[in-house]
Formats: sequence, structure tokens, C-alpha cells
Amino acid sequence: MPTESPTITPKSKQLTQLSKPWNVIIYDDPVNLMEYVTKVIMRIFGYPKSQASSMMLEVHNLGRSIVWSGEKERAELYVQQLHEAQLTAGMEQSDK
Amino acid sequence: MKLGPTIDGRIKIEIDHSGDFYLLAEMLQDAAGDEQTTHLANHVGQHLDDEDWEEFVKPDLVVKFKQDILTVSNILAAAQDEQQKEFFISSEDAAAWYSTVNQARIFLEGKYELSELDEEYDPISGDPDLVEPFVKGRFYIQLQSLILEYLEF
Repeated sequence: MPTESPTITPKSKQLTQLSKPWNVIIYDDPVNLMEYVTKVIMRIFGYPKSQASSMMLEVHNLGRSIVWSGEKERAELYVQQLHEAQLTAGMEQSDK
Repeated sequence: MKLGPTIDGRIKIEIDHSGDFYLLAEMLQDAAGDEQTTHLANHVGQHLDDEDWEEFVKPDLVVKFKQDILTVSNILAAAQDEQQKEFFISSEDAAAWYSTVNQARIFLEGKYELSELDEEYDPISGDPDLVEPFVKGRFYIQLQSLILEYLEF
């Protein structure tokens, strides 16, 4: 059935789109203390202090850091927890 | 006013004179000022373009931030009513305290952009309108740093 082949392409594109992970991002702000940002990253994501500190420094020096990637629902939960901790955070779908 | 950690894992606030309660009341006012909690919720979510977040998450954040201020307000009101010369921040209330101080700092930053000032900034020779927010801002950072260093939350 050669006539069906054109419909396959968009479906496979959609599947690829759905499977792309979501990135949780923390943005820099002038108020939150660096040690606090590290502490929040450790508490929410369970990272060791060295990794959390490295992410905090990336936020501080580059303005943002991707702190987690994965499925959308979990990313939403993490963003909400970061907001409750008064960190500026968002999420975006990875382009990879 | 004197602030310091205790050996049993709390922060002690010693009141030296009645003006100290004024400064703490100012902190509450800064934290709550100008629809601050709504502003703060908008601020933390500024990079999201999500109607669900606006509808379902933001209202909860506003309630939580207000509740934190109310918790600290009640502690301070009780201390003032009982004319306590000292009272404590325990780990149990640390998150509410930290949140409230943070909200006060965010309010000051939004209004006066204190983070833009040089580290060597001298409030005495600087803009007279910045003296009070500068001093309050420094106090808030000291209090927040103590909570962060000595309390589990």
C-alpha cells in the first residue's frame, strides 16, 4: 500500500516529539543566597553537595542551569517545588 | 537587638529596646507590601507560559507565601504582647522565617535595587532615601544567613 506511506512521517515525528525530555531550569536572581540555592537543589533532587554547588554556580555565572531532565509530569512537580522555595524556575522541552 | 545561635539548635533574638520590634514589624510589612506575594508568585514563574500554572499553581503559591508571613507575624505578636526580652526561631518555624525574610528582601530589591550598589557603598554619604532600606536589607541578610547556617529546614 504505497499510498499510505506519507502519513507515517508525521506520526513518527510526533512520537519523536513526545519522547523528548523536559528540562527543569533554575534562573539567576539578585536575592536568593547562593548557599540557599545549593541547599534547595540538594533537598529537592537529592544531589550531593558538590553537584548542587556546581549547578548553583552555573546559575550564578551563566544566568541559568538545567538541573533535571525527564518526563513532563515530574518536571512540573519539581518546578512547583522550586517555586515554593522562592526560586525562579521554569521548564522547556529539550531539543535533543 | 542581638541575634545568635543557641547550643540546642535554635536562633535567639534578644530584644534590647522597643525599637527592635519596630524593625521586625518593618520586615513583616516589607514582606507583605504592595501585593508582594502575588508579585513573588509571578516572579518565580516568569519563565513559564502555562495557563495551568496560572490557574492551579500560582494561587497555592500566593496562599503559602502569605501563610509564612502570618506564622512569623503570630510569633512576633505573642513575643511583643508578653513583652519578652528574648525569643527563639526553632527549626520548626525556620522555613516560614526564611520565606518571610526572603519576601522582604525581594520587595526591597524590587523597589530599591540594592543589589546594584557597590560592595563598598557607604549609606552615610550616599542617597538619603536609601539609608533605611540599605540598613534593613543588611539586617535581613544577616538574619537569613543565620537561619540558613544553623537551622534545619
